[in-house]
Amino acid sequence: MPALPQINLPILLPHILLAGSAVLILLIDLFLPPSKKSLNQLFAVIFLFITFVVTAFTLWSNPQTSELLNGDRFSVFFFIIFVSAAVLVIMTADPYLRRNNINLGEFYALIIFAVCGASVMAAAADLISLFLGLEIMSVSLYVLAGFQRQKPASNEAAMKYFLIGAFFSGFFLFGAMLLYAATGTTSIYDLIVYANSSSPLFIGGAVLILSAFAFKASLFPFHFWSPDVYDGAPTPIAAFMATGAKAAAFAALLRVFFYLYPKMGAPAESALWMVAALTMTVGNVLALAQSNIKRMLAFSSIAHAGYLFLGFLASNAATVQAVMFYLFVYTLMNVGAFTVAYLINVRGEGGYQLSNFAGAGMKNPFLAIVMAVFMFSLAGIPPTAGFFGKFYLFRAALDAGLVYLVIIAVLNSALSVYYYLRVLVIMFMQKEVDLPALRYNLAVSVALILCVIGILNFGIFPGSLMNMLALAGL
Amino acid sequence: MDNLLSLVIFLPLAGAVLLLFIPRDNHLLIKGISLTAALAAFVASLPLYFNFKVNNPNMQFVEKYLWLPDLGISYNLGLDGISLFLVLLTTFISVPCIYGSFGVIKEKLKAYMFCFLLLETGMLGVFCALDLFLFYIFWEAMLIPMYFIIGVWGGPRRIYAALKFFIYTMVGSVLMLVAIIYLYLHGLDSAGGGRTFDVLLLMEHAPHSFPLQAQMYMFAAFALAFAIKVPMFPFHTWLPDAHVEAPTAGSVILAGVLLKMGTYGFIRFCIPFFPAAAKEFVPLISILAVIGIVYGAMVSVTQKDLKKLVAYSSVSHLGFVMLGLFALNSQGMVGGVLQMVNHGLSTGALFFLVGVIYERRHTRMIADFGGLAKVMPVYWTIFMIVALSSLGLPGLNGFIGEFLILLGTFQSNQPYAIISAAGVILAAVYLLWMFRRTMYGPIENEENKKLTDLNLREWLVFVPIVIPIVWIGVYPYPFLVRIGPAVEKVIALLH
Repeated sequence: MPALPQINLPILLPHILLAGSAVLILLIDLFLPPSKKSLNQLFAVIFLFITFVVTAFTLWSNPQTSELLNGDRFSVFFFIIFVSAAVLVIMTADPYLRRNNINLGEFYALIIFAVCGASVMAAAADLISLFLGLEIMSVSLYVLAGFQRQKPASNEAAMKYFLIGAFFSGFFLFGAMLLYAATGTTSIYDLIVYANSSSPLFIGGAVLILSAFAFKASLFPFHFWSPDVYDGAPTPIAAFMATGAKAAAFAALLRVFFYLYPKMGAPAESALWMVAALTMTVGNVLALAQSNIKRMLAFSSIAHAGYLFLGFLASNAATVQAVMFYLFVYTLMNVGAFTVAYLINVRGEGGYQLSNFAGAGMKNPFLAIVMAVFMFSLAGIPPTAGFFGKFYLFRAALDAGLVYLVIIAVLNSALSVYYYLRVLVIMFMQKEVDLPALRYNLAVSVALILCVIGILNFGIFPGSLMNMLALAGL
Repeated sequence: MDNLLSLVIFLPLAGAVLLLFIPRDNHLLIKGISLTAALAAFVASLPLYFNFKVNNPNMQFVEKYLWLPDLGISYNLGLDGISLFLVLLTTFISVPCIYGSFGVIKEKLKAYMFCFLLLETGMLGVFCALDLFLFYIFWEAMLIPMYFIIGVWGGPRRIYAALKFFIYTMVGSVLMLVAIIYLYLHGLDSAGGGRTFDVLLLMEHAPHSFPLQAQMYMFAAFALAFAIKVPMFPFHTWLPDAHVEAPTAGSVILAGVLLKMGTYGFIRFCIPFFPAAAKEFVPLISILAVIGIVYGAMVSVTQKDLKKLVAYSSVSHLGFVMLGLFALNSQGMVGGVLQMVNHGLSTGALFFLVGVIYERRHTRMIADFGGLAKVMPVYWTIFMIVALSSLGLPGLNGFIGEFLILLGTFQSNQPYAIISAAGVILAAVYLLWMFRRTMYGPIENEENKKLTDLNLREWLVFVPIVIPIVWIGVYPYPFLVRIGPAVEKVIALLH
């Protein structure tokens, strides 16, 4: 009789706590009168904070591994990214939810479920557990994308995301099956050991799984969904998808392919080279043409996925740290940018036209200045963390000899300056259109200030974060 | 004082931070704080001159602190004869810039002063940084305040000009970033490996670490960034736009200091890091410089707008600087460095002079003026001194610089020297012709009769600038003796 598997509690604890928090919020929500629904926000932040503290104290100081899930520092750091993204999104979402009358407890519960899925993905030691995480996260996001169910665009976003997502889940499973056929295992570590680039089954499986991750990370040529979905989904959710979900995709990509990619051989190398170059270029070039800030941020997030993928291709010691650093600071600047975008857009959906932002800088200096920090950071201009993140990625890539790809990347980031600055031009340098008074609460201001402090701090003193990351390798 | 350089660099920043706590309607306090910060930076920079050890070619006032030791990045500052006067020029010219903006900038004064002080810190940092990473941070960060100064307080086409300025510079800088990282990764290969951004270490080892081919690529990447900044022909098209649209003080600082960051980059980084490539690039750069000299001067002749005329004259003058630097001999390079300072003073003053009549008449068209000498005699006098300095009259600063440059170029490459000497004549043409049309002749426009001469504020702007113009022209020795040894050190690397 087979022995029952040992349960390694410390490894499971973060995931259990997250799932528990989500369920608890659903229960609490039942007893809250409609006027007190905003308390959910408070509970969600508290629960996430508790989970964060518990994880930091158990797993970070005492990393462990098991057959299905890892509790290594790599997964803990990604857990920190997901929780930061979720906390920032939750703190900034309240005005949006009230404005659109969707102030429901499920919103917070679903975000925490998505975080739970993401952290399972980052921790997975086996393709099966990876798939579980992927599905938990994706299903929560499908629902969240369609959270404004009165609005056709939101429904369309959910439908689109769901259909394509389901398709790529199929890709993932099919790929896992082929890998199993090629190597006889689904364990990620055994895969690395048994991988053999001459086997067509292995190559086929690896490519299919890679496409599934590429879809989640919105890499070319699987990026088409993201502008439509970001545009239609509630803005805080778009922010979460661009940061938390993207980080999860990169966590999985690193976990599975960091050691596997070098074994895939030269054809894969040149194909992925093209993927990185085209992702950056397509994202930036299309972002140039956008007049809607949400779509612009969506295309820019494709471009950033390209920079991150460039770091992944470097595939050397600095890769993992550089990608994690970038994802963390990217979370700060992107959630911030999405938040300011929806705060200024008081005309409701469809008002995300950049022209509606004219002169907003003079009426709302606080929002305009923090937006300037986010834009400069996204454009990668020092002394912001965005610059240091890019520097770190490009350094890893140059070290790996990817000179031409880095040149494409830096030219792209020069190109991107145009559309990031255009936001500032419109906000600071154009005559104001008549804007109604903007209302937002303390939590939003605190969240935005935290983002700005993080961006400047990690831009000027990245040392502390780098030291932490040095411990968190694969 | 061990941290004198840091003090100079960050005093303006401290002023800027202080401004954040001042209510935005309290204009008096805002003016007071920003002027004090700029003055304090200038006063703090004076000991740099007096305590500077003449005949010492090495870096002085060095400060070095580990910043990101894992990446070989340190906070590393220092000053030699090349950067000394650029630092002094920056702290010096910033004072009249801030002072000269009082009363001119009426809207969003606090934000303006904030940007200006930030800009000053950025520029000073660029000239003092001895760590490539630190240098790049200052180099890029400085774009942000300049972008806002042009874009928010500029003229009618300010948005176009600001974006063009930013994107031009950015395209050049990012390629330089690639070269910087590459230099970091492989610059010490000849010394047995290791990685550093330390400029002095790289100067020592980088020339031997790369084959000529690699040196050429990296030189090109650095040179593109600097050539856009200078700006050399054919990368100059952003300059007239930026100059014309920027507010007066913005134009002054742009011409006076920002452009020097490009020429400074050539002599500080490009030539010492890649001496073999530099020699290969001499013909190309010299030809572009000569084209810039002649083309800039000829375009200046045809300008109807005073500010555009001065802007194009910068293209011509900086062509001289580049020609001098790439003569790669002592006279040429010393002349080039001195001419950077000269150009900063005289072109800065020219922009102020244009600003004076623009504020009174709200036009800069040469055709709208005429006969100003009768109504504004003091203005006329100062304009005369500055214009003569700019066209290189002996006895004023411009002559010394241009003479040394032509002397150096004549030794290394005669044809360039002969053609560019024509540029000096053309400079006389456009400056004197412009001078005649604005200053002499009958007063045809009624409004010009009511013009008032310089007020106290403007006196205080011009007098300090005219003093060094005459000083360098009459007695350049203290300048040359400080620039010389540092330049010799660069030349030694070429052999």
